[in-house]
Amino acid sequence: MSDTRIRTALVTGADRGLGYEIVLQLLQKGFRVYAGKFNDEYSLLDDLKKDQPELVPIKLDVSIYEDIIAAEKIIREDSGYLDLLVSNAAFMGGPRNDAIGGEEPVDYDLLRFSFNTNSAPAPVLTDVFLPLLLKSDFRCLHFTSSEISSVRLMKRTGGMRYAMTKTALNVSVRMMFNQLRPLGFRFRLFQPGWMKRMLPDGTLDPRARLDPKQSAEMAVRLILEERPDEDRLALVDYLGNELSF
Amino acid sequence: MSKVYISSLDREFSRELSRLFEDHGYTVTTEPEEGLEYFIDVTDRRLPEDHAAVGGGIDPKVLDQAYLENVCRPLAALEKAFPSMTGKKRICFLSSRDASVNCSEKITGYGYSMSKAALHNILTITKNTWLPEGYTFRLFDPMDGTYCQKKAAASAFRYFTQDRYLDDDDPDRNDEKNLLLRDALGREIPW
Repeated sequence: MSDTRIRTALVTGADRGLGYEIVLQLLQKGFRVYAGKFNDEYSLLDDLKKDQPELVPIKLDVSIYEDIIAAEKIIREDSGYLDLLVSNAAFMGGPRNDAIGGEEPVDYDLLRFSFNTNSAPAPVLTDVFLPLLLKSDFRCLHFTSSEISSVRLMKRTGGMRYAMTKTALNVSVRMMFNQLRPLGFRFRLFQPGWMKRMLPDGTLDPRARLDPKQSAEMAVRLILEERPDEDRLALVDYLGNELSF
Repeated sequence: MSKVYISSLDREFSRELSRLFEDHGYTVTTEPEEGLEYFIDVTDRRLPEDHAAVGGGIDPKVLDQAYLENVCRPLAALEKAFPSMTGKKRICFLSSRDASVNCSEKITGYGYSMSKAALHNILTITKNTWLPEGYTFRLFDPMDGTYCQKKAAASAFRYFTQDRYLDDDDPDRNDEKNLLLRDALGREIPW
């Protein structure tokens, strides 16, 4: 592969928050960025597009297979290769009816929706985009996970709906790592921290501690830097510290 | 007489496990009814369609189906039985090394591994919530395909029925606080 051609990245869940900030920083690093957009409440990507010719917003709800197939076609026809996949989209909301023995019965439809949004798309995206990723010498796969994916560290007594999706994600990344690391792929499994939620006008909800920008800086740094332990899968947080699974 | 729920008697492992409980004086039922001492879910569903590596055509519908069968249906049965459990109030599920983020060597079977990994976290959170109310938990890998399932059932019976280190005078030594995944040879499998 030529070292001079422009790097390309697909970022899912890029309407706001961490995904949006990763898009911004990849653009600053000279990437052509395909930004997955699914939330009509947010127009930050459209606004950004006006000044960023290398930004390509794409309609992409990762829980809809047809959207993933359509996104692949757009990138295949536009660039013909993909250097970096940032699988970041996630659903965190919903009522607190997700505990065995809780006041409300578990909502299994919502449990499945969470799995199909937060977990299943990781291997499905990699599966669909693999031919384009194999045309790259950069070959980096980033997956946004969470500290609550860690069963070993889990001390919580609630919130299983989101937590379990990230553990499922982690094992899927392990399996992809088993297959693709020998082909030179680099894997990033990232714990972004508890970030302030970005509102539709781009301002930040003051609850939570961390600015998504700060977390995105570490995510992009990890993506760009080669590590001496690439043959080992690690869950790394926004401070650069490794967490156990 | 103590009642034991075993979700299905459709294979050698669960039939042998059922026989062992009956030999020890328990009543075995396949309905998640009231008054259970043991809730044992033996679901270990590996769908025939769940065979693709990445690049080989991973079907999200297969992942969803595996999640439905390995997680949602067993949890729905547990929810039904949960409030009226008695005695040890012991909740037992099957899993596998294939669902270990640390140890899995698999490149196929995403639906199975992901659904079981999700279960690891769900049961840990459930344990954190309900251990103080006397509920206890076991996760067991029967090593299906690599180990005699009759022996695996004997190992499961021991693991499910034995009490772990309980020391009311020194709660920090209470090993029931730690949910582990153990295989049929007694080995702990890291998460």
